[in-house]
Amino acid sequence: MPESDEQLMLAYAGGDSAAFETLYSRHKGPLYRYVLRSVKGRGEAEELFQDIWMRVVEAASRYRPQAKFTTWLYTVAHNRLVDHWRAKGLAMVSLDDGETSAPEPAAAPSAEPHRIAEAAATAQQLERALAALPLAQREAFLLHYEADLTAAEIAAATGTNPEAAKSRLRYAIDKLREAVGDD
Amino acid sequence: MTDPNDKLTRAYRELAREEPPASLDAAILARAREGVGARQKPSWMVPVSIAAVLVLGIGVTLRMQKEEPGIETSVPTLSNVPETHSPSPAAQPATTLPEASEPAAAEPKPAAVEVAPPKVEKKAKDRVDFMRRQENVAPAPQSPPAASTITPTFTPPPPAAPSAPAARMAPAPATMAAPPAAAAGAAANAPASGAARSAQDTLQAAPQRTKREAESDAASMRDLKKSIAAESDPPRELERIAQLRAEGKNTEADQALEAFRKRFPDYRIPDEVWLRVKPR
Repeated sequence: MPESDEQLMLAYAGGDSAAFETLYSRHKGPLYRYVLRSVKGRGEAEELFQDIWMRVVEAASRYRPQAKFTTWLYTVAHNRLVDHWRAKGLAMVSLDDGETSAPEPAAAPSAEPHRIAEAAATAQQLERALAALPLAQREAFLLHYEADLTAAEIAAATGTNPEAAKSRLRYAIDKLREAVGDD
Repeated sequence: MTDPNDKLTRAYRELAREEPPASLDAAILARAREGVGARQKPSWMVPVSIAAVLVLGIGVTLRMQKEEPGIETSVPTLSNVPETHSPSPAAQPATTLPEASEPAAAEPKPAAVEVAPPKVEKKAKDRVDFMRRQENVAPAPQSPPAASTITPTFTPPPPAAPSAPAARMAPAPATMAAPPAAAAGAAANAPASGAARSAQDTLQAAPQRTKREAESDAASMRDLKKSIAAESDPPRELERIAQLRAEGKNTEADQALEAFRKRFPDYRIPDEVWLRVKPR
């Protein structure tokens, strides 16, 4: 039976570096895409991505499995992104307000020309629609579709209440479905 | 959670296929391996705590020795402390009693010295031995005894109960717990040579100094505990950082904020607090 994320993290805290490698391989893709679609460019995303994992490493000895590991991981990631947005002078923007415009649109397809040739039209439309979402709604969508978090877990990770998280997720899904023609 | 047959889900899965570059993977995994090694070293708190206990313990022992030589090796009563002393190497042997004079002090004996176990019976035996030796040799001086004759590890504090192992004494510096005897012995060696002449004077001053020192040590330990407590409580630590900002100590605040983030990566800094701690 494969070990749970929580067991792997505790094993890593106990000195098992192989446990971290397993944990990393499980979560690196979803976390990377979450960060990539939350900031402007790939370079920024990679820097933040590495920083988030460094925080995981440094906090390992203090890790306590009080919540799902994924929720904890994305709480760390969300906080890091918030620090990033704040450092860019976005401190006065209510990042948790699902109705505000996205302060930093995600990388548009035109920024990655090699993907334009590959991406289907639907995917392109989805990409644009995702980038146009308000930040909080986009984040709720990414946490649901990448990290498989429930509305309650999204609320815990982003510091809001479950109703607000559910509302943001619903708005995001509705807009994106419209964009891909899935009404 | 997501319906794989859902058009939106399929479209997103088609779109979102990015993976971090291999070089990034390698860097992160390397750092994670280093993290294991780093965690296996004692944290900064452990050596700081040990150092604090040693400093306090040595200080207390020195004062105890000056106050009443030999007090650390027997049930301390002033009547047990002889007035004068003459060197008597023959009286050296394995004993827990402080008898050596200055010449003997220069000759560090190994710890064939008995180790006083933390038991009343052993203490009583030591007392009997001491009394016996008083009949054979001139009484010990009031100077701090030689390292060789000091009980190496267990020294009962005055008026208190039997000695306790050094480890147990670690958390209670304010109670004048006995220190590691090796350190005490080494420390006692130095003053032994000059203390005999001033023994009488120091004996009278020692109680006040000892009390002052103990109070000072206790205050230091309280400050240390407060500092440790603040650093383990995120809101208090953020307040400390905000205070540093208010005082214009931005470099220190920046470092503290970075350290805070490493210690509490999952702690959400409220907006209103962020405004007070953010980098300038």
